[in-house]
Parts: sequence; structure tokens; C-alpha cells
Amino acid sequence: MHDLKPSSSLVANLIAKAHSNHQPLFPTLEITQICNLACKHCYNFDRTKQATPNNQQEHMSSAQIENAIEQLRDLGALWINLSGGEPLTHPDILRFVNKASECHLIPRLKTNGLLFDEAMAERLKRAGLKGLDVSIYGASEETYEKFTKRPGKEKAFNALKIAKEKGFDISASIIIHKLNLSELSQMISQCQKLGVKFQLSDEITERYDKSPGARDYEIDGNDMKMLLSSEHGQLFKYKNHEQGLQCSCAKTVIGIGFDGSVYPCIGAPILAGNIKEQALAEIWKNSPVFSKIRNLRKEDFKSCNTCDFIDHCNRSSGGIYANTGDYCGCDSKTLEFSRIRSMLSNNQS
Amino acid sequence: MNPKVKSDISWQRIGTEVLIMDTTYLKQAHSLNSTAALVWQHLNGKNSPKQLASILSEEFEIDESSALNDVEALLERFRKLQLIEG
Ligand code: SF4
Ligand code: SF4
Repeated sequence: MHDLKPSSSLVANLIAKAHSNHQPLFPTLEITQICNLACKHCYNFDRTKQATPNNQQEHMSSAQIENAIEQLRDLGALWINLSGGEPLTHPDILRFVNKASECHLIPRLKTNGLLFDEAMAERLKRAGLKGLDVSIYGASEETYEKFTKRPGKEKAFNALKIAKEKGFDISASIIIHKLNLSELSQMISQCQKLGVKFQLSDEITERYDKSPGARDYEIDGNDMKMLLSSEHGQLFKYKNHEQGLQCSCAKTVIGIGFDGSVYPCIGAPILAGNIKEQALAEIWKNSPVFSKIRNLRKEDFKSCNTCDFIDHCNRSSGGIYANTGDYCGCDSKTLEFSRIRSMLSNNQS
Repeated sequence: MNPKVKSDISWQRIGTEVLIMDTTYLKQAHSLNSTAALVWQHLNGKNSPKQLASILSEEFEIDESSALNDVEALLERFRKLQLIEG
């Protein structure tokens, strides 16, 4: 008997095989850019200035989204993340979940949870949804609203509660930023009270449309030092035992944007093609962007090869690319956080 | 009714194997070797056990009667694991 965690040996062995075969087991599909929040850090575009785009011409149609799900299945997907914008704002969300389920995929939603009430949970369950990742931006309504421009904290935690009761596989994604640092313990304890697992993310990148301001509330080195020496310090330590530099981009991971753009990962905005113009299998097989990433070697990460902090670096090539335009490079935040982790670890040993 | 993978069982081919993620019934993961994977991929409600056996015997060059035994044993296992209907 083998449990369902990707880390269980049977599943991990097969994921490793898919990695070497370049089989995209874990796609993310953005089904819309429309959202009911206006988070400061949103990588789509500056929602505090622009209204949500209503450009349905650029958005994939529902038929194109269904077709993308089928193509992902044929290409080798097993899990599928439906994201946005806010995926629950899409009027055809149930249709997409149902399609993914019919294709024998494991559909998950990346959501802010505000539209996830009892009735929606029931409908999604019937459509075949298996899991949710709910973004959490604060432990108080005030902080939440400062960051997202609308109230929603109660609803987000309520979504976690309902999802737990309905038996979905759930995870709270706690996004750490300057405004909610002092509420970290509360956010964690609220998740624990609900019996919900959580993950922490301090990764905030430049916007894909290059508009300024996304990183205004990004935490800095002093914040990281404080976090590392806090009661939650353990959660921010990172040991890169194998000095790994590569990730799963274009191997087991692929991203498809709301307009059909195809990326090596939804967090790495390097355009490889568009499924409105070309078959996904063709892009996956023949795109020079993907071949280049798959053929990268350790030597190609030049600054990393001489870096003293590699043992404590959790680099994200996609995030670094979004911030600097260099997929194999480094950015100031990654360097600073790795240096701080390394320094503290040396002081402790 | 011919055997068919249940609609709420998630699975995918990986190389010559199949990874099955039963997130609904027994909440277990299973892997199938290439022989079982071939049978699994044809469990679409259109193929009878006999037809499955002939697919197997053609692909792996084994005689039809031992292929049918293998198919029956596999179907039994899949039924016990609540992965198929029919
Ligand atoms: S919830 Fe997500 S998509 Fe919506 S504004 Fe916030 S970051 Fe952007
Ligand atoms: S800190 Fe920068 S240079 Fe050093 S290993 Fe990490 S990404 Fe590479």
C-alpha cells in the first residue's frame, strides 16, 4: 500500500522518471486574469491602478481552455492547477474542473477563497475537484485589506474551514510581506486550529507587464534575520544539501497563461509559444526556450559556481528571471537571504 | 458490461508504467508494470476480457489462454482495489 503524497517512494520514483523523460505531470493553467482582489504584489498587472481587463479577445475562450486541458492530458499531465486571476470568478469554472476530472486528472484550485462558500464547495466537489491552495494575506481584516484593497480575511479562513469539512486536500499559502510580518504567528495558529497544513512564501516578483510597485512590500534582509531568530525560525532555514540549482521548469512543470501563452512554469514568464497558434505537443517538443532550459548544466549558472552561500540558497530561476531577465543569474534578494542564512548557520555551529 | 476504469480514478502513463492515484476510494497510489499498464489503458468499457487478452498476447507474444488468465487475475485485483467497474 502506498500513500498519495508525492514524497512517498512509489510516487517519488515515478515523478523522477517523468522528470528525466520531460513529462509535464504538474501543469498550471491560468483560466482568467479577472480577480475580485487587487493585491499589491499581484504579478499579473497593477490592479490598484487598472481595472481588471475585460479583454475577452485576449483571454482563451472556454472551448480553448477545455482543449488545453485535453492537450495537457495527452502530453502527460496528472495533477492540474487551475489558477488566475481568481479562478472562481470564471463562469465556467465547474465545466473546467469537470473536464479535468473526466480526463482522469487531479484538479486543484489556486484561489483567494472569497467565493468559496458551502454551495460552491458542493458543486466543485461534484465536478471532481480534489484540492485547493488558499492564499492568506493577513490574520486581521485590517492588514488583509491594506494589502488586497478589499476585505476578505474572514472569508479566506472560512474557505479553509469549509474545504476541510468537505474533505478536500487543502493547503494555506501564507504570503509574507512587510504588512503582515507581525501577524505571522496568528496566521499560523489560525491554520493549525483549523487543522490545515500551510506553506510560507516570501517570493514576490516584478509584474509580468513590468508595471512598477509589486515589490513595495517585499520583506528585506532585516526582516529575514528577525524571522530566522523568531519562534518560527526553523521554517525559514534552508539547506541546499546537493547544491542544486535547477528546478522542474519545462521538465515536469509547464505553465499556460490566460491568453494561451506557454511558459516553462507559470512563475517563469519566458514565452515558448501560444496554444492558440500551435499544438501544445509541438511547443513542448520543439520550442528552443524549452530545449535551452532542459540542456542547462551546472556550469551555466556562472555566479552560483563561485558563490559562498550556495549551501543555503533556495533560488527560484523563474523568480530571478522575472526580476532580472536572467534565468541562470541571481538577484539581490536571493543573494542577501542566502548570505544571512549561511551567516547564522555558521554562527550557530 | 465490459470493464472500465472508474471516472473518478486519476492516472497517467509514465514511460511504460502507469501511476494510479486513487484519491476517492481507498486513497492509495499504485503503479503498474508494462503488462498491466497495457491492459489498464484499454479498460474503456469497449473491450471484453477476451479482447484484452488478444491485445496482450499480440503485444507480448504470449498465447491467448495464458493472456486471458493474466487479464482475469488483473481485473480481479483492480476490482478489489475499487479501481474499475464492470
Ligand atoms: S488574489 Fe491573486 S490574482 Fe487576485 S489580486 Fe491577489 S495575487 Fe492577484
Ligand atoms: S545566492 Fe545567488 S549566486 Fe549564490 S547560489 Fe544562490 S542564486 Fe546562485
